[in-house]
Amino acid sequence: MTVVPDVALRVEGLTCRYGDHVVVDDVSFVVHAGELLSLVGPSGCGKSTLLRAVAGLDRASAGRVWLGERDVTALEAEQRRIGLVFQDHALFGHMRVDANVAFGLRHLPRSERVARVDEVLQLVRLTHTARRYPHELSGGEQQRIALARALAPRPAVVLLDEPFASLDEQLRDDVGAEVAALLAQQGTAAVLVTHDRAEALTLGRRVAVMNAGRLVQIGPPDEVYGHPADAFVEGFLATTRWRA
Amino acid sequence: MTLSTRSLPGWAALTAVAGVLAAPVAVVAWSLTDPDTEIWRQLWRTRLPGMLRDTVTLSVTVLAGTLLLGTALAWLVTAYEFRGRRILGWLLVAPLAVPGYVLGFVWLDTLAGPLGARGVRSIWVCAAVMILTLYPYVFLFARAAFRDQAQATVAAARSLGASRRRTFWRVVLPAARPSLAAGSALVVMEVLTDIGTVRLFNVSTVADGVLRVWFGTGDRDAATELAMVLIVAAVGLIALERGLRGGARYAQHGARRGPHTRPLRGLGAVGALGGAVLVLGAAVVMPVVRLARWASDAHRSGATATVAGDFSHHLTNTLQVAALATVVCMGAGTAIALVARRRGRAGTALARVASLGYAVPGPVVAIGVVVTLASLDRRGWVPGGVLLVGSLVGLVYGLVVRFLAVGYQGVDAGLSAVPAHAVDSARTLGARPWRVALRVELPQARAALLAAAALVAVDTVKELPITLLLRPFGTDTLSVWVWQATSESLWVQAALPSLAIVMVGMVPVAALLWALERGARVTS
Repeated sequence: MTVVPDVALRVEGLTCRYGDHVVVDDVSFVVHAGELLSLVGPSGCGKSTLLRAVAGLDRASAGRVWLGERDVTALEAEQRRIGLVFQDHALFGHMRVDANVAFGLRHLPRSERVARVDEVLQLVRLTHTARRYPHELSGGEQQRIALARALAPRPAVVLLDEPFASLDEQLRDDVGAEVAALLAQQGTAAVLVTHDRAEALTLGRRVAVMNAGRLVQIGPPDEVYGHPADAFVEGFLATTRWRA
Repeated sequence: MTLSTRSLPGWAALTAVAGVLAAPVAVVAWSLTDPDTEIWRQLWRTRLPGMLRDTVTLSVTVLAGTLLLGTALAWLVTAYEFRGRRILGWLLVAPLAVPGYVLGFVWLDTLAGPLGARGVRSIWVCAAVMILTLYPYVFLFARAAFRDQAQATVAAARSLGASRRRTFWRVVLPAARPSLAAGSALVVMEVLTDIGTVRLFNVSTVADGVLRVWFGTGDRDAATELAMVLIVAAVGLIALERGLRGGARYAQHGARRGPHTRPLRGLGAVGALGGAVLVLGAAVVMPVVRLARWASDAHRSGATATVAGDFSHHLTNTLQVAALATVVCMGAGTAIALVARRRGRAGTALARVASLGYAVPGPVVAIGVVVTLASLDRRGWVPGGVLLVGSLVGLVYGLVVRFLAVGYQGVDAGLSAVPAHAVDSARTLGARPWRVALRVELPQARAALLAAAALVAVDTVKELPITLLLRPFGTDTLSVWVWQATSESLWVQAALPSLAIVMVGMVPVAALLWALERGARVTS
């Protein structure tokens, strides 16, 4: 196994079965350092399951997951150093914003922890919300705090599961662009799962298209849009209004 | 899919805990495999047919009464708008703090005039008293179910041309069926277990029979055999409840604000409110006033102590036992809920085994505890174990066996309301299972934890049979004092401890209401 140094995440032959039902079928891909990969596909194609298996929240039936040169397949979610952002933000409602962001920093001494919380809150431009509770924030603000919380422990890769789906349309484009810029600025590798084709093509440096549990095509947006690998990808992307 | 692939440590320890909690029930159930035909022949010839008849009559009557009263009152406070609706919604739960054996003797004395000393000791008056003390179970479950129904569902039924009445009978009530079944099961369980109220009215139920055989003849084997009838009844009841639920959870999507309320006016308003006030007067106000009068009489005549000690002796014991039992119940219940949730089917099975005692009437649990401790002693596993029978350990053991399910189910309901993504997030942020539990799951379920602890505390303060049978010599609780005084029809002497039980019980009931207002749920 040769490991290219600039690979942040490598997934090899990942398969998830529930009984006889194969939800994720032999999926392999890599995410390079600092790259944002969009993972797009129709509802129920297995993309969220794939994400949970990569994060270690669900056990894969077969396949391996590497973070850089580290094989994390056997590790539990809490040992993997993979950040995760959900559609519903999943902020801890009983903790203030600063405690939410500090949750993954327990290994740091107090002073460093405070400094890191401040740093990521500045990054998402929400320092003034540190002492508030999540329910006092707007949807967009909650989204940015969820991202700040995931970024705080400096994860090897961040996974975003439909992170903008709960925001209204107007906000969605702005927050999406901002999050992509933030991740690029931090040099953090990320996988963005979405069912929104335009969002996938706009935000991803590369786009992976999934259908019925299989990875059908992966490549730069203009290539996937311009030269679809098969009839499914062509049909799936045809109705998308997007300028390459 | 299970909630998580990672389990909490301590599975083995918890299996052991579940075993310890199930043992007293198991040893009694074991006697079924080898029934003593002579005892049964004797029972059939003498008292058993009468006991069965009284038990069935009482259960059916109380069930019908609580269903009617609890459902009607719950509908009144969820579907109608009137002055004092909120307060009435709170007050109608208050009878939960008044034990049947207290309300029973107050009404016994009150009705002795018009009905005569003999006429008042009837199964029907007994049933009426039990309905007044037990309807809050149905009320709580029914109200929660009515509130949970999506507004849109009711609106849809109305738009399809159904009248309010038809909507209630065809849509609202059927959707509330699982909750009503759960509330009814609790009511019947209470009737089957009761010994204090039935004794006042000379109603010979099976539970009463167990106690009489135990104390009257000292024949523990016969008492154990008789107790089997209750276990069989309880198991049948649980099966029936499961059947009524139909295995379905009637989850409804959409805004859970309950049906639109409409103003209550005219004769209907007077009737409904009058009825509710009457219920409260009969179940809480009148008894409290009478108890207070009697208590002050007793105070003046100096009859405020028993051979075991003075008032503070009894109060201290009651609080101590209740606190110990609640802490152990909640500790074990929380640990089992946390671990069991991560173990899928095996976890659910473990939780069921540990909760077995709730389906079993108090006298049976008490017998089981005695038999368990004695046999552990005999085998040399717990040297001196039989000495624990008359100790605080034995008493708390019995109470925890009986009420663990109350704590466990409350915690489990609270935990299932914690968003799964919050748990997932905590894990990806590097939190180990126990940290996830302590920092994320339990804090978010705190209202439910408080509600569960409140229910356990009320139950232990009111509890009679286990306390009576297992209390350490010389340490009587308030409920034992009431039992002893009322056995000799000394109402005045029973008033002070009764009043204290009601007052002590009000605190957890208030805590329960507060927790429910904050979104805790009575079922999972």
